[in-house]
Amino acid sequence: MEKRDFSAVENDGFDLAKKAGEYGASSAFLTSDLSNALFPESGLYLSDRLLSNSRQYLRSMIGEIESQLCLKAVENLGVVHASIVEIGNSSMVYCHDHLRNAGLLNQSDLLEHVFVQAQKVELTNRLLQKFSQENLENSLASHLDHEDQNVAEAAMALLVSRNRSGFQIGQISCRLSDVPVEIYHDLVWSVTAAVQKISGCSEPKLLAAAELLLAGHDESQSIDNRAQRLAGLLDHAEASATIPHPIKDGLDLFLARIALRSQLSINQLTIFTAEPNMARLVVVMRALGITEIDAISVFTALDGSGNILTPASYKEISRDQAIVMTDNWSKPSAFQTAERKLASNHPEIDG
Amino acid sequence: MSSAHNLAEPIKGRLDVDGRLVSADPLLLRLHLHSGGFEGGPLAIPQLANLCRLSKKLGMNLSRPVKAADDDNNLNLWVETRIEPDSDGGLSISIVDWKETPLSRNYNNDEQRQRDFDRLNARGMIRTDTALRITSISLPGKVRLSEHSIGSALLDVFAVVKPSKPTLFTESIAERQPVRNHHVSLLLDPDSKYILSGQPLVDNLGVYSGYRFSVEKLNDESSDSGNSESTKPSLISDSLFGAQLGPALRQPLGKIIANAETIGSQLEGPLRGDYASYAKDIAAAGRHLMDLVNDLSDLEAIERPEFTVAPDEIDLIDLAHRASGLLTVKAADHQIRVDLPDEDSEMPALGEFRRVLQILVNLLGNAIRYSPDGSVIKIRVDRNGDRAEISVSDQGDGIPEEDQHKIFEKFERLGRSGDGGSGLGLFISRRLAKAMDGSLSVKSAKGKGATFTLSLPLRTKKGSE
Repeated sequence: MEKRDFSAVENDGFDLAKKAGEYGASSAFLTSDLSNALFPESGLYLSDRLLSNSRQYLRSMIGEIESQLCLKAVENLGVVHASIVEIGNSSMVYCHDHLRNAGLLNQSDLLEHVFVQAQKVELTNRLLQKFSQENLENSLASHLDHEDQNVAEAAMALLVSRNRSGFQIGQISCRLSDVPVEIYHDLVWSVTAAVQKISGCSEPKLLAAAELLLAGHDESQSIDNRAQRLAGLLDHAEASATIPHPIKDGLDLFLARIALRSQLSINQLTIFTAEPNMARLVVVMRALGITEIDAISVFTALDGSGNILTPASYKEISRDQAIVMTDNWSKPSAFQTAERKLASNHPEIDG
Repeated sequence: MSSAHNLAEPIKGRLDVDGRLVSADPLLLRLHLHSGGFEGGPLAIPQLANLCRLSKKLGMNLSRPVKAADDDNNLNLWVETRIEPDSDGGLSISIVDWKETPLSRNYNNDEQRQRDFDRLNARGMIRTDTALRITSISLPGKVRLSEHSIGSALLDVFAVVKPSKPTLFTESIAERQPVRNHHVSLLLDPDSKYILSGQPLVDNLGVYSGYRFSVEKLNDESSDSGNSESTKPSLISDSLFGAQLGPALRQPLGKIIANAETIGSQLEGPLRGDYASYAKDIAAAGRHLMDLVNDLSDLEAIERPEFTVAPDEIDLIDLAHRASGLLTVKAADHQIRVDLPDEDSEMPALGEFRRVLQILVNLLGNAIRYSPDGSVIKIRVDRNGDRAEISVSDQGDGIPEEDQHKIFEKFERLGRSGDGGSGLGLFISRRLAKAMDGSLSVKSAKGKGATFTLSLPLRTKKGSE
């Protein structure tokens, strides 16, 4: 009989007691975790791939921030603390678990951004199954010869940003310039606090490095930002007559053009594409007056579940109703949330 | 219908640590001035200021679309902010895209505000459709044409008369050009003559949708001076300002003010700071003279024995809101809040709509002029027996008791000068109030603000009381 070696799982009493305490605290959330898994409230199907990509993106984002922070501290401010140097040079992620345990990653804006990025990867994969990367880039490159110099420059900037993002099928990583500034601002300070705790380095220079990191962030470099600018310029040029399409425009510009016309955000539209049958995206297209042929083409390009949008079901949607619904979705999200909660929890008082 | 400034180079600006615009390229400076700002003052373009505040709060560079408006255009800008690490809290602005789209003028509030201005200046208004058929009309004076003229072609109701030329008028309309100062008369009543000026209208899609004309009553003696001089010599001397000097002065004064404002705002390009300042002084002096001309015309009118007012059925609360609407910009310039009665309530009274509005604009304008910046002006209504009263209270320096009777005298300024007043406003307002069987009084104490109260006959609602 093979002799088994138990030394690897041997724990001393102190370690076991520590873990017991931790599990005692965390197991209190067991039912809420199970509840969320069994009874999801959103109606969105979170596939294993999407969850995996989300985790990967979040870890990548935190890893990039802690690494950049420590490099700034070392290279720009002369910090020589060994742990800071190590974090700056390492490809490991140090702060993620600390931030997660402290509940600092459980922020709705942050999680929405993470989900949207993972969903965009999903959508890009779907497009690439139907069209080649070259075809998708050629459409954007056609704007490089635009007679309006500003349009040409904005198209070039978007192309550069997309290429820098270094997207590869099956991989997701975070490029910090794509993180919205408000999220980035909060996360940098959270990571700074975590790095200070992990390293034991309490030098004010670490905070100064965080300020440097924030001041160096350039929102204009983000893909969404550049796509929005190009969409705005095209909307004033002759291209406003053309229908936005993920194949003709590429995913980012398509979302930005629809967002501009519908007054919705790119994040909202990306979430719509993750919903069953992309129902809300279809309603938005109807509200924008996109013909059934174009709407079906857009739907087919973005769909990944073999669903079909028929001309009859598209035309069945009342355009007036679609406009009202789209208009409602464009209201501030805090207002929409409050409206929903008030409607469900506080029935109207009679008289 | 949109246009883009050719931004070979981004438009630049710079804010200091306190958010003051310390340098700006001409386009940005123009927008800042049009938004109520002044050179070296806090950035006055709200959307841009918000972006800069966020950038400074986060300590991060932002790059976002910004929507603003200037005169008749919506502006779609793409703005980048840059934190200046070496400038101790300064921030630079770079506008990389600048797109202009004509502003829709079909807002109800704008229409109502324009109508109020027209009524305040004794002007009427005519709206037409694309075929020049009248869709709405209100004429100064007692002529009520609406029932008959709505739907009629403009030139079936009015005839272009000398010295204006009918062909010039129709050609301008055909070419969708603005028309100015055309003399017309009513076909049904050729003695009723008016001056017609109009602008073509465009709808939300930028399509021509008709004309909006303003209509001013033309006195016989000014329209046909040759005849009237011989037949009505006394009226000419009686109406020196209303009929002759007033119109003769208003036009050149209007041009002086407009040109001085253009120079002062540096719309045509940058200018030495002291020259721009002189131009603003010229514009201010021009506006003062224009107010004086208007006041003298009014003074002359109310001192005529035949001066009468119309007993319109008015609502003092509605008029308070209209007067406040006309002075919104002036109050905002001084961060003054006007506290108004609830718009849904009513205080019915009898008095000529235009004249009561004129009195309220005068009272509210004075209150703004003599109140400290950031203060509150309260307008309240009350019923006192068979009188309806409206009061305007400010938080200014107040008026000593011994001076309170003087302020209603002609040209009495209580030693103040250089604040834009003519010393005629309260005199005219009290005379107008009396002509409407009302009164205008003041209660004040030095250092405790002043409350002016207009009292008018209460209008009893039919069937309710």
